[in-house]
Formats: sequence, C-alpha cells, structure tokens
Amino acid sequence: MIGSKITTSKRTVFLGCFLGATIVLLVPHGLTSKCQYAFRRMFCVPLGISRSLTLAARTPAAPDISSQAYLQLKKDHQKLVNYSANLAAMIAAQQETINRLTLLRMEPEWQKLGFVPASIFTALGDDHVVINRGVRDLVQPNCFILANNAIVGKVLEAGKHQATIELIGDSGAFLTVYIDTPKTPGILRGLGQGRMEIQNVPYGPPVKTGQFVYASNQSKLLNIPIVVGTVSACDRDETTPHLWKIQMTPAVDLAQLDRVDVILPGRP
Amino acid sequence: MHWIRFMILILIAAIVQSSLVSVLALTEAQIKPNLLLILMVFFAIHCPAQEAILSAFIIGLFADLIGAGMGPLLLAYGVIGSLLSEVRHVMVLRHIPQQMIAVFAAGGLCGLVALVLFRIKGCPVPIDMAHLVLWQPLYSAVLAGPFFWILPHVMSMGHSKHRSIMP
Repeated sequence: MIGSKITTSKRTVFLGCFLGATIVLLVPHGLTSKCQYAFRRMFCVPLGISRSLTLAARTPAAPDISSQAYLQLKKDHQKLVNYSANLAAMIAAQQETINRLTLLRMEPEWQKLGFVPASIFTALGDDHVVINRGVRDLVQPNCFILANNAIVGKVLEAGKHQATIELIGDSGAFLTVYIDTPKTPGILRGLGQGRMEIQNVPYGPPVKTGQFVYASNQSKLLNIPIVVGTVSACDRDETTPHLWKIQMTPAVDLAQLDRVDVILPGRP
Repeated sequence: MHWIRFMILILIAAIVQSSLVSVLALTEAQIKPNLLLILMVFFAIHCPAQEAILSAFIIGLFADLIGAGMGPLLLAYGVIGSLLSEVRHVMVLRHIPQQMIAVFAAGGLCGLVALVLFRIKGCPVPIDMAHLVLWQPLYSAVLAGPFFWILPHVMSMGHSKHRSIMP
C-alpha cells in the first residue's frame, strides 16, 4: 500500500482493520507480548538513548559524564558516606580510649603501669562481670581493675579471650586498704549486693565519714595507691570494742560499669 | 500521504512516548501527554477517510507495542480515529482550538474503550481510570496546539484539500 493509492472503500478498510484488531485483542497475552518484546529488542538502541536522555533530564546536572555513570557515582558516593560515618564513629570510640589512657598516664607514677582497655560484655550476678580481654592480652588472675580512676575489682579467672572480674562488693572479695589521713590500714571485705565494710581497723585513730580509702601497695601487682572509695559510716564495733565498724561506698557505681582498664604489673 | 514519512514519525513518537515523555510528567501522579493520541487525531482530521482509518489503526498498533498488552489501544484508536474521520463531515474542525477539543474528546473516549478492552483481555491496566480518561487527554489537548501547527509542515500537508471537509 505504501507508495500506491488506496483504492479500496473506507468501509472495507475499516472492517479489515477492525477484524485484524479484534483478532489481536483475542489472542492470548502470552503470545502477543512476544511482539512487544520483539519491538523493544528491535529498537533497543533508540529506546535506550531515549531512556538515558530521560534519566539525564531527571537527575541533577552531572557534567562530562553519562547519566549511567552519574548514577553509579552517586551510589558509590552514598556507600563512601556510610563508610565514612562508620569510620568516624570508630575513630571517636578509639579517641575516647586514647583520652582515657592519656589521663591515666598523666600521673607520673602511673606511667610505670600497663593498662589494657576492656569492655564489659556480660554480668554474672551482681558482683561478677566478664570482660573482653584475656591471657592473649596479658591479663592474669589477681590483676587489678580500674574504672574512672578507681579500683573496682580484681581478675578472678583469665581465659584466652575473656576474663572474669570479681568486683569489690562481692561477698568473697578481700582487699588490703588504708584509710587516708592518718593512714589507717584495714581489710576491705565485700558483703554482697554492692555493700562492703572495712575490717580490722583498730579503734584509736579517728575515722570520719568522707575519708578516702586507698588500695594498699601490693608487690608487683599494684605499687601505687589508688582510691577505692570513701567512708560512708563509722562506728565503734559493739562486739569487738577495740575495732572500728566502718562501711564504705565505692568510688564508682559498680552497677553502672561499662568500660574498665586492667592494670598490668608492668608496661607491656 | 507520505507513508514512509508517516511511519518514521510514528516510530519516533512511540519511542519518545515510551520514555522521554516522562520528562514532561506533571504532579506526583505522573500525568503525561500522549503523543500518539495527538498524531491519531491529527491524521484523522487531515487525511482522506481510508488513510485516516488506516493511520488510526497503525498508531493504535504502535501504542499497544509500547503499552501493557496488544489489542485494546489498537482497537480503541482505530475505532475512535475512524469515527473522528466521519465526524469532520458534520462538524467543523478547522481551527486549532477545535482540534484541541477533538484531542480531549477522542482521548477520553479512547481511554474508556481501552479500559473496557483491557479488562476483556485480562491485561493489567497501566494507569488509573481518571488518568487515562481525563488527565492524559486534557494534557495532550493542551500540548496538541503546537503539534498541529508543526505537523502539516513535517508531513508536507499544508492546507490539504481533505482538511476539515464540510458536507
């Protein structure tokens, strides 16, 4: 018909086309869809160009690159932004650790000590916690545990990658301490559930509430005094009148521990 | 009519309609003009009856090739295009505003017929009813003005002797 004059009547043309269209309509979609695929495959190049132009028009101006490259770059950019955010959070956490360790080492005496920063990842009851450091990090049983510049416990057991900490409030915990000014030695004993008292303090030297309590020097493990808590109550022991009955409040809230440092006998 | 030129024009329109027209989409509902509808109305108004009927069915075929399923638009465009080629014998469609109204009316009717046929065929309806019957024809009618001014030059029709034939 192309290039020649149409000689058939308009009724014939209409009926022919209408019948053809009706047949196409009644053919199952599964078959006719192949024609659509064929058309799209045949004109994939102009359709692709048209789509690229549409994407280019929709996306913000991206000079000197194709729209597909721009979209890829945008995806990569988002990936990098996420990576950067994760990295920033990690750096902030590391910086916090560095700051904490720097503050510890500002004390000249403390420079002789080694510290292993650790995180508490589980609690075993009220007075035992597990940290994420072990023998592999030079953590040994009986090493002291520091939190917010105060002694909070000792290493009870050390595994390869983790260690169990006995907090000073545990009913089995003992620690040689002294109450400052005048220096009055005693033994800190945990009573469980975060309570503790200082025993074997002779009733003589005055003891007042609010006085600081320090861990005594212990050869190799702790050779400098570090605060443990403060005297919260003191009274003469009625059963043994020659001794004080002293209660102590830990310098750190033991229930709120999050990060601690294991004090190593020497700098690694 | 220059059929080769016609086929190239329809092919370009179909390709543009399938993706590039999205650039002109309005509102969040993505209301797009229908270039093939504009062309169908143009050829129905400007060609002799046989050519108008044939061109309407061909344009419908292309609309189906880039659409959701084969048949509904082919039949709708064919029937409405044929009707429009008859209508011009009783109604003056000489001026562009009149032709724009014809685009809107033909678009609405095509939409309605196509909706029914899509349901008969069992194909998913590509767009919602209001969009197909009202908004798309309206948008197409608005855009039809410039097309109706350019197309006679492209198709070398000028003021054809067939244009807006009066009884």
